Amino acid sequence: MNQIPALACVFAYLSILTIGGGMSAFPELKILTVEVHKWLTFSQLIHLYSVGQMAPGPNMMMIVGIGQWAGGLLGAFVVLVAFFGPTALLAFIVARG
Amino acid sequence: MSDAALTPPVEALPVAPVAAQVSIGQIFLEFLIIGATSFGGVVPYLRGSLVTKRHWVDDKEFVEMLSISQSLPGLNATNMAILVGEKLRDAMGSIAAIIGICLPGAVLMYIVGIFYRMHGDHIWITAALKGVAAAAVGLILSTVVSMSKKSLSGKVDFIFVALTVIAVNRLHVGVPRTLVAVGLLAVLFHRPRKQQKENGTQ
Repeated sequence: MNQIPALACVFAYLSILTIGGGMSAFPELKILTVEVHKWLTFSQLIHLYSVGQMAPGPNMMMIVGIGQWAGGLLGAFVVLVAFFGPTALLAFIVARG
Repeated sequence: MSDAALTPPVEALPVAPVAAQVSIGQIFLEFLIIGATSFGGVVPYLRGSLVTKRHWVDDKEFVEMLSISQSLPGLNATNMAILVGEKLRDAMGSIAAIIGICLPGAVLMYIVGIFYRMHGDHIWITAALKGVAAAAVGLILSTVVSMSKKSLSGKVDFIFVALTVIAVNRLHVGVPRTLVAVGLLAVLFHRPRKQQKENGTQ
């Protein structure tokens, strides 16, 4: 039932794969969320991704939907922080340096 | 006299006394607006807002920040938010900017997630989603084409592309391992021989 630690690990790992854009993480996103953890089916992932493309803002916001399904409001929040935190910290360090 | 040389107080900023003091609230609000209106790619909206409208960064800085954003892992949108936020108000500016740019899309996708979970099997929604998925494939394809134009320099590069696809999609090698292996091959192949090739990482 408690998927929160798994969500945090998966999305923190995906975070560092997003070199050259969010799409780079997509193959691993599919393997980890669909095949390994079975949080959703592949066609659900495609649907979320497609709808996410039409939403404004950073284009990987569909991950919030995955977090919500797997772990409710806390899941959504954890996914956001795990996915954007590491790269944000790295960018901040670069900006300072 | 001793440590004054170490701290350049105002590093060569030809413009923008405007950028001297922007409030955290202003930063948050501006990025919130960008986050809520930037359909189909954030970069033009960032430029319109930060360069043209607010003059928080000038055009040259914007291009520099964008190329830093692109060479770092992470999405352009969030990296730009961090870089611009840091420039304006240090850590608090970065935090305000990234929360602002993420909030609208995140709330929207949270609601979409719940709605889809409840009504995703409805016949009309299934039909609509099929159409949307087709459009998304088109969008990804157009990204692929524009990226190829920018980064593929010869026929040999297509071999690296094919190798990556085969390794990840057919042989199910993990993405990091594939990237390291194919990346090394590509680096070896593209090592500077006759003409110097410049590389803009770091």
